[in-house]
Amino acid sequence: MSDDRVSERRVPLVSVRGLRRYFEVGGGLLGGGDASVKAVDGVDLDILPGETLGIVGESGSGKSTLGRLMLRLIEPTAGTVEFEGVDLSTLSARELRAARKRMQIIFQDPYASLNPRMRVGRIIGEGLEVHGLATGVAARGRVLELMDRVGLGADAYERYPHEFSGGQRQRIGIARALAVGPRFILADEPVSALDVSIQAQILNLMIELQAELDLTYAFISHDLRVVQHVSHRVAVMYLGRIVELAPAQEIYDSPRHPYTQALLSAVPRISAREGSAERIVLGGDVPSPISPPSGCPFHPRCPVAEDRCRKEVPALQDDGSGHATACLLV
Amino acid sequence: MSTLLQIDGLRTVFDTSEGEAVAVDGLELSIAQGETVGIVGESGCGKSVTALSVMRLIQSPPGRIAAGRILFEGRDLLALNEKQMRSVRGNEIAMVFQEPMTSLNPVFPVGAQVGEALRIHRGLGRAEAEREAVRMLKLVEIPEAAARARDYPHQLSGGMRQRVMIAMALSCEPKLLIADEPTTALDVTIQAQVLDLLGALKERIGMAVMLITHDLGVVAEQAERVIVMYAGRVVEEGPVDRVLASPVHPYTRGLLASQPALGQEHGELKTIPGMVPRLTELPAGCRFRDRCDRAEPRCSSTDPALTDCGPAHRAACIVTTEEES
Amino acid sequence: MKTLRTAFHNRLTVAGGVVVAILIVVAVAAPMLAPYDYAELDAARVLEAPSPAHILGTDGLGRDVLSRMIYGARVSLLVGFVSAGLASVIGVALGAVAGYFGGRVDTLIMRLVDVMLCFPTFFLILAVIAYLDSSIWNIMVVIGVTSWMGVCRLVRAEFLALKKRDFMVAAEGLGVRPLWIILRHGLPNAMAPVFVAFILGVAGAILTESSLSFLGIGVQPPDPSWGNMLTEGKATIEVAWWLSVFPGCAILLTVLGYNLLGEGLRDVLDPRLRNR
Repeated sequence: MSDDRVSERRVPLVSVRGLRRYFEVGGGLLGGGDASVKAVDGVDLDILPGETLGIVGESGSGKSTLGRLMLRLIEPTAGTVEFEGVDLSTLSARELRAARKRMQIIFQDPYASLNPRMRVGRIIGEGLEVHGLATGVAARGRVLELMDRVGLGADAYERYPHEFSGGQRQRIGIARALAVGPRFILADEPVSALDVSIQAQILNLMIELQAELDLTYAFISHDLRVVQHVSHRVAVMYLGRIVELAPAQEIYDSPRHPYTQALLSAVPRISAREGSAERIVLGGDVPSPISPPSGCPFHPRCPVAEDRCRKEVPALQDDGSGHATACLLV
Repeated sequence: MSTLLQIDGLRTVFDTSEGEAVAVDGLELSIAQGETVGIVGESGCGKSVTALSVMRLIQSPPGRIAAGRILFEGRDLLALNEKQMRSVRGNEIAMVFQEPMTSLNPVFPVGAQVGEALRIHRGLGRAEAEREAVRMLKLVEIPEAAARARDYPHQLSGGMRQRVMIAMALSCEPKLLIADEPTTALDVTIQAQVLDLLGALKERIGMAVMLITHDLGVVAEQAERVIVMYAGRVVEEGPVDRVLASPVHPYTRGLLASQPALGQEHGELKTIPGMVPRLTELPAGCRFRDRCDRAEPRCSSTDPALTDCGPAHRAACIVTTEEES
Repeated sequence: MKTLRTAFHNRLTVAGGVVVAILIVVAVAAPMLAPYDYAELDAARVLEAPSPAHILGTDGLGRDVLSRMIYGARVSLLVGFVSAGLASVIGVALGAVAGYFGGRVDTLIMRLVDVMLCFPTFFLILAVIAYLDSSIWNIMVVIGVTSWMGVCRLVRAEFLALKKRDFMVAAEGLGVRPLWIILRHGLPNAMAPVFVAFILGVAGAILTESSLSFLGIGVQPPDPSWGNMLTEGKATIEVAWWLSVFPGCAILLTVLGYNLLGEGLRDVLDPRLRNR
């Protein structure tokens, strides 16, 4: 993977500022209760063209919601999302639909992400049809080309999704996303539901495609191994906020935020060459985003929390070398 | 250490509309007292079916145990009648499943469920079982155990529910715990907690564990021996450090190579091409040969048996085991 | 299709299906099957009990009961299918829109459903028919327009669940227009309960039409409907039992047949829906 293409500062492809998304819970008709799930609670982020930004976190971290906000599949409660310099919220419904050609999504569940009643050829070619990019014979040709590129046999064209394995379905999903010629792909846990040996096939495919088609990825996952393998930079999320953002190698070699350290130490090591960080076992449960703690969201479970962590909310601060941390003690 | 569980030639099949699917084919496995053995493999390799076969929980129809012996402390579990088997389940052999939400009954409080095994197997009365249940919940480090005992499964988090499952399984101090992907559905930090807990408890009770997982890291940290399964057969077995550091069978090698190594420089991941064969259409000879980069013509005619390739280390591959010797 | 094969395992469902099939055949082939014209009078053979010449007897004007029943089946079939069809179309359209778009649109449509359910629909139909005339088309439209609520709720529930499924989000992500998403992605996956509701709806419509005709505001004589045959038979029930029994049984069997078929299909389709 050529890191040099990414290392120089360029105009970000995706730019997120002050993004928040709250979901109302309970209350409503019967009044009272301002209980809301603060799924994303103040995120600033830039994704550079050609890079893969890994987004890791556990349940309740808000990573999936952040992804969908980036594509405006969900409306934000506050904040902005800019894609190719354009604020997505200023687009009309029709303009937004047209913009969708440039940003696509690959889903986690290969069994739910394909319409069970549509044939594969049609699933992949739908984007071409909708945006008028190709019709008839030309469209069919393009679909077959894509199928070949992702490693599907041509005979898959007339078949239905249920006839294929998880890995093959994921390939269908990738072909569908590529059909409209996007610049940016949001990959939401694309390999989590696959067996390890199939994961490797799909990851290799995605990396190849990135080089070939100059794609930019936002790669969401809970699997630290996979994320560090594909990403140039990694953002670690906790309770709707980014707590650390740094080049992939640095996150793994020198994590600074206590949560990142605990997260890394919790991954079971296969062999000694993966390093044997002393296991930091966090107390308590993964918190619910319904009532996040005051001050630093991580302080109740933090092994090195101090008094001020309960009162002050740490901002994500860059140390100047591209490594940003949101911790009062760093 | 004496042998607690000895499986010989287990063959479990399922009758499907496309023919007979052989989920487990001639499995041999032994677990010593207090030992933790990991069974790894990908979907469809037969590891879960093995666990269910030991517990005799295979749904029949369409499944059935067609052959083999499962000796538990010398007794063949397959020869027991259902009543005798029931006194073994939950009592001497206990099982923990992957999805605690569906394994726990949603309409009963968790304390009652933990106490159920005690009432059935130890004949405890309701009040006494409740007290014991709270003690078990404390043992699995559930905070405010007495209050939590009255909660329903949906009120607890995933990690808590898994601890409840463990408490249930351990309530009668079984000699063997079968854990089928016990932490796969949990977040990484919670997984670390639960695995830590399991490790401490198994020391304390001195029980053996059959740990089934697809995660090589979990096996590396928890098990003493590991068994690798593919398409219903054991393809490699041995001490966990040895097998993971110097795997012999091409499938094990492929499996290890296709995992991105944590914190390492990334090149292209080595993959295993193709897919697992359908259990109704298993090829003759070695089942892995269509995907194997070391396959030779003789692999299609010989069914490889487990051969020694190191101290207590065996692999079912005629090509690579020859190299080792 | 595996679904059909499993459906056939239940004998009652099959029985229902057979009844429905027979009725359709009878209704379609009425002119060929009926031994007499349904309006043909024969003053000499008034109120005759079933005999070889008139298998189900004759009525007060000497008309052949069998022929009238066969043509009556036509009415039932027509009213049943058209009314239920109309109700289904309305229900599917409103339900899909409510379920997919949610928010205020959903609330509005659901309140409309609530209002419609509050009405005693039968009396509503009576009022409308009394105001307009009782042509068969009016009857069909009125029944259709007052019985779509059940289908609407079913389809709405389907769409609420479907909306969250990834392939629907994927379609939105591709830039597909909402209408297209509903029609091409949503409906094919939501149709199973609609199919069942339709069949059950036919049974309901037939029953309603029979009731209306019985009360004299449905199909008007001399056009035969099982309902108005019952009215005519009511007056002479002590001397001519066949005028009431046969149409009555016809209604019973028909409604039973449709219900068995519909419920049988529902049992087959339902667990599959959940498994998906």
